[in-house]
Amino acid sequence: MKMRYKVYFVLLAIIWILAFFICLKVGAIEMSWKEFSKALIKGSDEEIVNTIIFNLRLPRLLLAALTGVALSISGLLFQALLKNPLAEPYILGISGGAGAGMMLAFATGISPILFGFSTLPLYSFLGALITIIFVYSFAGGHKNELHVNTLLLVGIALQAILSAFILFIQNILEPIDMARAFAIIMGRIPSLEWAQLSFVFFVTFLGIIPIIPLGRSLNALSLGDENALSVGISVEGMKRLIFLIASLLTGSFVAFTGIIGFVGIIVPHIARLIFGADHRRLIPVSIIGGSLFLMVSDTLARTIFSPTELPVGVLTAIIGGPFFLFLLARDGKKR
Amino acid sequence: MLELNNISFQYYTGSFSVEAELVARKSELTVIVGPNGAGKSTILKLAAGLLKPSAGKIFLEAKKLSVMSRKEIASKLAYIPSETNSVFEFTGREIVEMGRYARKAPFEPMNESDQRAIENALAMVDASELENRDFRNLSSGERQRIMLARAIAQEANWLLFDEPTVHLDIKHQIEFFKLLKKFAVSENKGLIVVTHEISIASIFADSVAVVSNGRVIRSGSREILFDKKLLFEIFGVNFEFINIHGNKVLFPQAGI
Repeated sequence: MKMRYKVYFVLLAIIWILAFFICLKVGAIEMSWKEFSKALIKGSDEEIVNTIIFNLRLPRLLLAALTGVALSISGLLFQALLKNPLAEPYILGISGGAGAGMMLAFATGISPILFGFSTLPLYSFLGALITIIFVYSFAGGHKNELHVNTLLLVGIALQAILSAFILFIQNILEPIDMARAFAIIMGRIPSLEWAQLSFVFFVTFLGIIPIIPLGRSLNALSLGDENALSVGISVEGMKRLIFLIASLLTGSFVAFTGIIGFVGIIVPHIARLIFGADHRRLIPVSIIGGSLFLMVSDTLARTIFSPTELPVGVLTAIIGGPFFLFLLARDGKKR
Repeated sequence: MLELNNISFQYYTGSFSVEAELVARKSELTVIVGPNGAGKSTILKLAAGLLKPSAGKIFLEAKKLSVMSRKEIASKLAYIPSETNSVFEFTGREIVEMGRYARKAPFEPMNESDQRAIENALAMVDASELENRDFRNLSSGERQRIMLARAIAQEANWLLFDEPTVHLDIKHQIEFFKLLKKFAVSENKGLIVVTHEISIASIFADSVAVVSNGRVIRSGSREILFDKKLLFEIFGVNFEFINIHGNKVLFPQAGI
């Protein structure tokens, strides 16, 4: 790695650590730095402060970080596979597919609790996987004639259809209480129980570990399938792996947080601006940058209108939507 | 030897099929010529293992291509498309470095011999000054040189080019073919080039395959290109040839 990138990387890590503690400290219940550090080191004398930090803010912050990792890595993988910096789980309709899968499981009551864990993530994972295969085939990918613009249009159309579907099902189930459907469509980060959070950690590692050695393969793939084949990358294997892992990451997180859009565009794009196009750098940078981005976004979402909270999905859409349009306009001019 | 044995292939749409028989040898420049849409590029992609034939066998140095892994193929054969675009901000050097991937385990860093191979390749195609430039901002000729450097860095015995000179002016076309010819002989490489620059092919080719309507209709030495009747049938244009220093050169009659 070049010296310059090492410096940026260290800076990013330092910002991450600072952001982590600031995000943990701020909130509706104010506390001084002294009080905060005491609570962290040996526990506060006031039980309520301990509860707020360790049972409310910390699990929420960690879930936000992991969600940021999952969404950024999914975006990065799709962008390399589809040669399009605008590809991302939300834009491709995959988050919608995950939400719809979960809603169907709700409606039909086929999601039992196994060993104390909800099986909903399984259904949102399947929803995501089916959607990505559908979108890819619809745009001609299975015939090696992928139309990248069609792909985005199909994804955006699907996202609209699936959101409507989620609201429709909810309307049939409980027309008075639409809150659950809205929580799926505009995602928010909950404070999970530690047992559930450890499951989320496990899924994240399961998805990230196989990606770590693939930097070079993703580089070659992002220049086109033929290009990747001709330098010795097995493209079919990569495709299957990316579909599976991106569905796993996106899908299982939607079950906990609902749909949070645009993270997978914003983070890899900024990462490329600073660290270049080499995925050996982009993978670790997206992991750290993605978690940083969603930690900060979620903290803003819960504090700007304090004591009321904004769903973080609203915030990422307000930032990410215009960002998407900006990239679209810029790339459109180049073509 | 690179051998296509009774190959047939059909695209999904079913509108176009290819049947091919082709032999290319090391230290030779084999040229595939034919009009637009004749199936030249398809045949080249079949030879490179980028497309899978529906029947027939391809042998790369006596080994069946279909049983080789992508890595094994890439260490023996490099493919250079007619045009490469990137949507991401790779540098010229990062693209050339991809030529070394097939020789590396996932975490194995690029060592000194890799760096040397990359630098030699860049120098050979006169592209050293492009190594830190954004690949997206290069001209198509410069991008083509980077892709050629990548193929050289791959250190494969076989190099397959699809329309490599489309974006080059006549001087650079000639220089490019001279470079290929020298490369084939001095490095003992087998080169296959798809082109419709039939005049240039008639100067440089060691071996020629003429493709029309998805079939290899004639193959052999450069001499077969001097069959005026055949050329008219295929291209619909009358060709003449002239003698320059004892070498026959083809040129088309414009018919004005």
